[in-house]
Amino acid sequence: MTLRLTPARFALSYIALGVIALALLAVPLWYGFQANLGTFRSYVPTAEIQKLVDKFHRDGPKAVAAALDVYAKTLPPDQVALFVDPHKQRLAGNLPHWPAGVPDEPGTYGLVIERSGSEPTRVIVSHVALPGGYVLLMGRESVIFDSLVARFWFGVAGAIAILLSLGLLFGWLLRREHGQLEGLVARRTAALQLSEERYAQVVLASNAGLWDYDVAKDEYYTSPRFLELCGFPPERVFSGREDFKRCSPMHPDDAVWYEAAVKDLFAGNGTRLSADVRVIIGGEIQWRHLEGICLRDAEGKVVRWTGFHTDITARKCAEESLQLSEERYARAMEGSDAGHWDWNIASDEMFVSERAREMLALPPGELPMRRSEILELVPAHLDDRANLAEVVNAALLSSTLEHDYRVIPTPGQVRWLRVRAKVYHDARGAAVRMTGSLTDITERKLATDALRASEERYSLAMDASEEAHFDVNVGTDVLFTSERLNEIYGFPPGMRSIKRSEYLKDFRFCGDDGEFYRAKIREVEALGGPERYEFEFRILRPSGEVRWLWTRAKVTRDAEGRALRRTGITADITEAKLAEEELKAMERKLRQAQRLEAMGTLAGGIAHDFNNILGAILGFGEMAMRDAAKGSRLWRDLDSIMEAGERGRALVDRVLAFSRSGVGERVPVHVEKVVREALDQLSAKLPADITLHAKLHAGRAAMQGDATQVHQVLTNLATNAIHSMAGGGTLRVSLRVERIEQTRAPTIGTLMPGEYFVLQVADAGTGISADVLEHMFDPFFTTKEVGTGTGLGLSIVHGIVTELGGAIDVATTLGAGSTFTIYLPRAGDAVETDPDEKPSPPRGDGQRVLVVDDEEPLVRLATRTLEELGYVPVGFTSSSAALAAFRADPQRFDAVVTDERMPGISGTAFIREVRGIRDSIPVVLMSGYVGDAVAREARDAGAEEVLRKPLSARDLATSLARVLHA
Amino acid sequence: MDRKGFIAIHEDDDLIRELLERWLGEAGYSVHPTAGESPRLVIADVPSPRAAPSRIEAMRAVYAAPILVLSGRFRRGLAASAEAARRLGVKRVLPKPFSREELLSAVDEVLKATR
Repeated sequence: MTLRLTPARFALSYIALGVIALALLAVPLWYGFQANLGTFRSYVPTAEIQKLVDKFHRDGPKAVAAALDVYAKTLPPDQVALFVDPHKQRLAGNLPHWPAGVPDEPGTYGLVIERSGSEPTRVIVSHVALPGGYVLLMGRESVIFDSLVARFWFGVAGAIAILLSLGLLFGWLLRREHGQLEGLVARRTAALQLSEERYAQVVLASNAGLWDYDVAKDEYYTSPRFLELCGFPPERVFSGREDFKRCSPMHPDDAVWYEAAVKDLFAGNGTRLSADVRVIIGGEIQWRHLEGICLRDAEGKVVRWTGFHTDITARKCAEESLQLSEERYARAMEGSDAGHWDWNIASDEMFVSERAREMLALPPGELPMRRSEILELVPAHLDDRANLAEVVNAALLSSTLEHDYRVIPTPGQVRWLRVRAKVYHDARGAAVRMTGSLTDITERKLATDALRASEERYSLAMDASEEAHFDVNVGTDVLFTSERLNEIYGFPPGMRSIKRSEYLKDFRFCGDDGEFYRAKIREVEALGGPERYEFEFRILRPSGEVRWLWTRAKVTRDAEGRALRRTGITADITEAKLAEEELKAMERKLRQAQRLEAMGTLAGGIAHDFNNILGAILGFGEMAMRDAAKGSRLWRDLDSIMEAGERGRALVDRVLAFSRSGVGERVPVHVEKVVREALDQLSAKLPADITLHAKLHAGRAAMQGDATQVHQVLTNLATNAIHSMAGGGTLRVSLRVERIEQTRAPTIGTLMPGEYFVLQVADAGTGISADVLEHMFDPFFTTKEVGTGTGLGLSIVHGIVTELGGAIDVATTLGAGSTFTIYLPRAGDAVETDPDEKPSPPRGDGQRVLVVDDEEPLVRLATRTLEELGYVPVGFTSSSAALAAFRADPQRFDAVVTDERMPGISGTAFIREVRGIRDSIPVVLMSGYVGDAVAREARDAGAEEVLRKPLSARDLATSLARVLHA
Repeated sequence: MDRKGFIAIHEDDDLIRELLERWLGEAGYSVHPTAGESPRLVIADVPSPRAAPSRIEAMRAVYAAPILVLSGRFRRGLAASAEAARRLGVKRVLPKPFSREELLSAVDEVLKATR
């Protein structure tokens, strides 16, 4: 920071420094004074002195002397007390005599007292004069007398030091200020010099001649260049202005008005004069530009008239020739059809030629107009009006303008104008001028528009068509495409003309289609290849989407059959392909559904007749057997017929399972419970290498139907699954309730929105091949070895699911397994127990039941009933044969059902025998006449249950279940 | 001969009808009506489930007696039969083919229930 010095500041700083110095000095001085005073006072026993003085006045010298003697005795040795008479003779005190060196005037003094027998001591004493010439001298020995003196001198030295340092500070500050001032002066002088030099250079460079006329002295100074410009020799000096005027080379015509102007100026009208005048130099007219300024004194009187002039001859000539050329151009413009305009941006003046005015429907005239005014007047088309100003503004930045716009000179008539302009910039880059031409291009524009419209129509048509167009030059490998091709390929838009190899570089085909595509193109482009081609292929879009494309093209060939060009179309046919595939799938499904339905109908129709036939065979056979001697050959043959008839009956029964009977009563079925039961039975029969995983989450949800149906569906699917896993694996069964929101079509049936049981049976088996998939629901279609299955399992599943209004979905992977998903419509919840409803009879689970009755039909009836209940019955018509069989393998049977009245061994006896062999075997006794006695006897023999004939299937089922689970 | 009463039989298949007549006759029922006798039971064959309701309606219009329906179209199995019977509104349904024992048991059951 530099401090700028002004006189006021200077004075102020001096005053401030003085005040500070005084303050600094005052502190040690005041301190020293106080300290010395205090010190002196403390050395004099003032109070004692006052007491003695008072005593003297009151009691006289003797009393004082007495008192002082007393007092002196109490004094410590360093204190001094002495009372003397006017002759300085001692009267009292601890000093032997008046010490030498004590001044006669009263006051306080420091002095050295020499006492006998001791060192001289420094004391401070008060010399107090009492009336009558008596004197009292009292004080104390001082040990700090020297330091007091030293302190005084120290104070003096400190003050001197402070004063010295302040003086040095002042000196330094003054030097600094002085230096600044000197620097300032030096800089200003240098600047002035520089400025003068610059000025001189500028004057020199400007090539201007200077004059300076001192009005009062009438001195006329002229620069050498001035003289040169006026055609005077360089040494010429003018005595005054009149002298100069006399020989001035100014053109007489100009001189007249110039002098008048100068006179006017001197008279007080303005201070400056600027003019272009002609001079005659060497008989030739030249142009000079004058700039003059007059300086006035306080009264306004002109004291100086100064100025310069420059040679502007060349410029003037150029201007004249320009004017000439402009005139010529204007005339040319009039002749041409183009309009012309010139806009001075700085002044916003716009010259507009006649023709341009005509085109823009501006009023005729030659006066320049303002641009804003023109914009206001031009009847531009409404759509172009706003745009026009913008375009011009843009041109100001870019320096050229070419723009077409419409005007409506008269209502209903639209003219197209093309404006072409150029912008001129000054050295700084600011636009200063814009000139342009205006042509009426209406006719041309209309023709172009028609062409463009046609092109546009074609392009639109191409875009509108789903097909992409391409044109490949086989020789140069350049591909021209329509935008649609990029779209189809999933490429970014904009690639329209590109090397084909470049274009196909990032191209990805689906599967082996790339090889196929390249082979096709090679074939097509080969010598003598086809004239037209057409094929389908699949691509992978960059998004990973697979698209089906179809392409068809014509190949242009030269005379030798070389391919020159391929021109054609490519279309995305994915949707059509998908639709086609879907249609095929639907057709397949429909065919299957129809086939299955037809078979169901057929089976139903056959069943009716077939069962009648079987009924007759079995009925009459039964009667014939009754009449035949038991064990005879005839009887055995008849038995075989009956056996065959039974098999036929079982078969027809299964066929009926998939033909919709439509008479089954539907009751709420607790699906999860049924599935659980079925799984329990299944797990007992499961091969060792297969594990069962069940996830049942349907709760109490119920379905309208028949529990047996659910049982059959699960059993059939599970059986198939187990068969498919010959090498072992896991069988997964899951059941849940799911809400379907959208209608969809699984493999079989249709799912409408609603709640469904979803029963899934999944295996890790061999999977199902496509041809099997199509036929697997057909009756009697089986992949199993002959004798293993009936080929009706899935038909039954299909029949049941369809009847229940459900659907089936099959998902399979060859070698990985299959999943069957069964959808069954849910209908509320199952009631836990319904007291009104008879529970369905308990079912067996493959237990072997020995059945003995001497009557063949009864054995048949019982075995059939037991079969239906899920047991494996083994029937005997002879109790002895039955006993023999039981004895041969007692563990073969799980229960015994026997008639009471039989020839040979009676029921009761039979029971006893059986019990004898195996005590725990459950036994049910049947009897036509169940009296109390019989019942008791039977129970005694070991029968747990006694049933009355004719046998009710329900009773048999209940009893058997009871004994088996007892 | 007329110990157990008259059973009306409606069966189109001659062989089955003969079988029915013989078995029922042997069991003591009369299968040919004497004048003015109304049947204790009607045994009717239903060729197809679809035709069943109308056929049964027709029977009901003529007879007041319980009806035992025979059909080769019913699935075997207790539950199925019971449900089918309930649905058709008849006492009992007997799937074909049936044995003598099954027939008599069914007839017995129906008659016992209506007694």
